[in-house]
Amino acid sequence: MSIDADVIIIGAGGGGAVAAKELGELGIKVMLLEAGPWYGNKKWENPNRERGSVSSNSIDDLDINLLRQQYTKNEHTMNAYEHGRLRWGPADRRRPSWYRNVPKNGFIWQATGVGGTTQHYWANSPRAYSMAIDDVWPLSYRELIPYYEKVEDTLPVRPAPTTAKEELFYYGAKKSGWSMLNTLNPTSPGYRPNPNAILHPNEQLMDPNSNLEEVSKLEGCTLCGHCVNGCPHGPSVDKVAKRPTNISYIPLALNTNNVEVRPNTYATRILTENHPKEGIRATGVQYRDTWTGESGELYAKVVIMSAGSIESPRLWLNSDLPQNSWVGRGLTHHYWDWVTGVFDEKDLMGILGQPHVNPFVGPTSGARLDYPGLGCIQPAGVSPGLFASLTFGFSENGNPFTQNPSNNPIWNQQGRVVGHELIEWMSNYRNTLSMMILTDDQPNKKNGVTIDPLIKDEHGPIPMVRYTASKEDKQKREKLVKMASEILHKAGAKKIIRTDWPSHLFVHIESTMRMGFVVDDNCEAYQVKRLFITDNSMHFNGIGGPNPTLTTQALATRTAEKLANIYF
Amino acid sequence: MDLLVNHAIKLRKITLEIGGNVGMDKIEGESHSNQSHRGQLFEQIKSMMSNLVSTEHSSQPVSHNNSFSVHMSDKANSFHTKATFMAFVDAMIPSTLGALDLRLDEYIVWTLDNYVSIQGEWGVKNVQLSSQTAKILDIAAFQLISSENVKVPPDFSTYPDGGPFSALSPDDRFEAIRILEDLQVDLEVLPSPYRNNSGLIKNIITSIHQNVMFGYYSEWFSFGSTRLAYPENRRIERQNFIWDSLNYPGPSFGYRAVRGFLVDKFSE
Repeated sequence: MSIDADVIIIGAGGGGAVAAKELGELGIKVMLLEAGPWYGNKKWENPNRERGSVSSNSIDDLDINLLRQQYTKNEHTMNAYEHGRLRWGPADRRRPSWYRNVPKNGFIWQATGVGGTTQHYWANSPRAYSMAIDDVWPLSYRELIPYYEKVEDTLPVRPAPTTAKEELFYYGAKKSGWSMLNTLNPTSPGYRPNPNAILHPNEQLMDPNSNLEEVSKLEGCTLCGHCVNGCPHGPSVDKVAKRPTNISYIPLALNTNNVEVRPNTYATRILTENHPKEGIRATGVQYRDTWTGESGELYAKVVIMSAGSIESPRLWLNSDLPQNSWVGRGLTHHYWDWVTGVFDEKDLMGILGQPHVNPFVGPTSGARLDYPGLGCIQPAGVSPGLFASLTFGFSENGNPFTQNPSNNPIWNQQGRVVGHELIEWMSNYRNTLSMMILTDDQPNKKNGVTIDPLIKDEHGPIPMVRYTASKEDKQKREKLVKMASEILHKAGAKKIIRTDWPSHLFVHIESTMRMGFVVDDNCEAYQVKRLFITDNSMHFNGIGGPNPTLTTQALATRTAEKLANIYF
Repeated sequence: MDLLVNHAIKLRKITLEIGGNVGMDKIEGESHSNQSHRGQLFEQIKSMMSNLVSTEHSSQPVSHNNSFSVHMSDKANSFHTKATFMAFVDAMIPSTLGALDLRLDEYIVWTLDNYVSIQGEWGVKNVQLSSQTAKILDIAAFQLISSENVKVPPDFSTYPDGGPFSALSPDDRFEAIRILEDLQVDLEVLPSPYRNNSGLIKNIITSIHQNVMFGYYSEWFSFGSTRLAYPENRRIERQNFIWDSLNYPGPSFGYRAVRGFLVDKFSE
């Protein structure tokens, strides 16, 4: 049997791109398949209009001018759920997105394309809480540290600078009695700058005589506030300020001359054989070209699934791989919530020396409060359309109500806001500060991904995704909401709304192909040899609440090393 | 009482439209059940209507009009859908310069008709959800009216093409949405694909609220005459006066906003 590459990786997102670079550096030939488009590459000058080339393997194909044209920072163009450039769907934007069944109010926020969802992630790159790993996972936190360090150097990860919204958060957190942390490994509660995969601002940014458009073409963050809408700022693709994998790891992978990236290629089936010695083992991938609809097969010695916590289990289930009751199950997603305060200009002048918070300035999230055992709180600021929709439109509770102050002195309002009240809130947009709640929710077998028995798309039966929080998860979230409201209150917020996000918000999706249940501690499937996983799905749990990408990237680095030792 | 009768006659017309059009946008493989379901739905709503008008009139005129209503044109259907979402977006972000002025009704219809795609016999196709969604809003509104829980009497003059939902006052529209979300309507009478599908109802109701806000406060209206074109053919044609009103400067190259660093370098 002729092979097309040593290793085929499915998915060029947060994990797959890391594995590609690490394997390429070891001299292993990699073919990296990606379902979506590739922005900032000369072989696809109009990636949403035309099919373009089949693949690219040269760093010379990367083009910062194209990236600047394509990542417009306009929130509708980039992030509209149905047809945004950073949506879950085919590159061709005339076509609908790929539907997933979320059988409640909620949605799955993922993006296709080289870089995957890291294209619009906020680049928050904290490590896991050690207490969520040690004596829980099949490996120890200590074993992860060298891999964390390698990823932190490569991305790189830096403490976020302070802008107005971080300063207001620190002020409120300090007044609430929390202490400051300056560690990468928090073991007790406290606040700190977010460890972000964002380059520090260029020194010329603060020079009043510099031209901001020119500064945006230099190395370093410009604090433009559009991490969530895609960052185009930098002198070349590999030196863009925010470090999604299409910026950080893909250029390094191409530099090895061992990695070929093939966008617009949707993996529909894992191909296997029954080997006399190894048993069932992966031999390749069946795919569908998203432009032409043509199917094909590609063969390799090893296959890595890195399609994300929804698609990796879907691909397993649609490939008739051996039955395993944990495939797709045990989903955690940090059971998010969102709390927003509005401030008086006079108070802001006193605290910040300026009359507005301006939530659209600075990194989308530049600070955090860590509480190992409970979860995290992050101040965050997004552009107005996203802010309105996430703060006032997206609630478990369609019946807005005003809190009775005697029941709860901290937040005044909860649930959806419409009509004149919505207009009133939005007129204060510049004076708002929001806090995101990430709960240390625990894996539960009833939560996760199954295959819809009735609905198919062009890639087979579609995934159906469900989640119900446990009583303990709800209690943790409630505590975090109170803490966040308290911080806003102490910082002087005049009115506080808790949005009460629906439980079916799927963003930090983890642990649907859990280590110890579906894969071993090298992330190789127990039941299918030569099949590895390097996305969030192999996490044993939700790592305690911190944002999962860095941990996935550390594990992808480790898995690349392990599989190279075993099979090459 | 005359007023009530007029409302009832208007309601009846709309009800017939609902009954007559259920199943027109059916999903693959469900056509058979829709056919019989249409009859059931019609009978049920007819019976509710009869109860409403029975104090003054017999229910006879209702069944009298049955035959032609089944042939309601797509055009009337789309006028009805449009009127329903005009009423919805106007309640969400009222004038002046509200969501209706910015034609968010068009945006909602567009997104609903491009939200779900599935594999059909000859390839992938969109499930057109806008007209079915308008119908479930009407059914909820109808139930609200017939249970006499409206705060303000329905007024059919504002949206002549609309049904019960668009005849409600803005507060009552949200009350109708509430009973729909709380599943206090009979899910068996809803048109496909909402029939007995509480998950999809909740999903879409939240989504249309979010989309009015996202459409209104993002750059969508600034696309001007290209706002309903295929996404890659849209162009910013005018200033975003909503952003101006929020004092949001729009995408910027950067801000001179560094206040320092709380931590220069983390310790291990």
